[in-house]
Amino acid sequence: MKRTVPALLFIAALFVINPDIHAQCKGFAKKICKQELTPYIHDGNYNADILTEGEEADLYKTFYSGMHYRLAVCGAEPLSKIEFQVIDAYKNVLYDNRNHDLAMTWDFQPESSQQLRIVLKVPVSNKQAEYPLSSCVAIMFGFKDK
Amino acid sequence: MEATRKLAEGMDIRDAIDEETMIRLEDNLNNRDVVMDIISETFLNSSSYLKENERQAVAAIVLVGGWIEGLYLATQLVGEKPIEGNKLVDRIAEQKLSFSIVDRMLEDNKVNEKGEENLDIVSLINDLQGLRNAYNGIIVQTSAVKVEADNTTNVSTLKSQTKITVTPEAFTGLRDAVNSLRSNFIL
Repeated sequence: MKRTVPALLFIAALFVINPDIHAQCKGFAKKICKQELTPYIHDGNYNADILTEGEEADLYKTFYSGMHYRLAVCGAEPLSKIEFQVIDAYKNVLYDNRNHDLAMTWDFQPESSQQLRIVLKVPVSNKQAEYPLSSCVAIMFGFKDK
Repeated sequence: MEATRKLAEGMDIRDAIDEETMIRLEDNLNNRDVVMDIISETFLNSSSYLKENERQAVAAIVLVGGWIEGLYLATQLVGEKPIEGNKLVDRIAEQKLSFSIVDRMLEDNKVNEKGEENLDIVSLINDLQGLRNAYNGIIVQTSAVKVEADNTTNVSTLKSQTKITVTPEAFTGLRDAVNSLRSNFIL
């Protein structure tokens, strides 16, 4: 009985404590990541999901001439900082935050409108760990007129 | 605002848009920055609400609907003004870049996790064929990008050129395609 009670309590806790992780992800995107965009205005798009260490994700977005943009990539605890690259249509890497101490944001202004690809990767913090870590990763864009 | 409320109720996303936000929007209709902030917040809430409730396809359709409405307004604003050297026409032509992303997003949402085809998405993909054909007549070529970082402002300039070719006939075709598409949606 002593062995099973702790096990039963643990399983019960999973059902009681287990939160709606997608709602938490939205909360993280809105309350934490969106603040990184200030003084830029958030474009309203919601790009956030649960990612695991070692996972990659990408998205394409069009950026227009005459505008200033800020790109913010945020990882919630317990994930470490997120790696990201910005790549043009000719596969040139325009920005790699690994060269900037895994900075969370990048400000830029395109001279002409174009479609760029943003690639995210969640780095592995401990290759010896039994289970990889997962958490919310959000990517948000802000803009302002030139 | 009343129309917005009805739309939200019709899509069953009333919970994503609170009354306080609607009042704040009505009180600040002349303040561009506040309006843009509220609209982006509302879109974020609506979009995430739909995705949390397994309605990603509806979120995609709402996004496309907004994009088409924007295209409609922009093409109407051009009116009878000359096409050549017209910055608004260039911006409309540049939407060809976004169109490929729209297509990709709709394809991603065509089939749900259970493997069932979403008929509304399939119908929308088909409806967009006229617009696709119109954009085939418009050429947007971008060069490779060279990044110029400014260590003082921390803002990088992406240096490149875009060549846009839009004939009056191609623009008329595009405007007609947008009109036709929008008419189907609002009827």
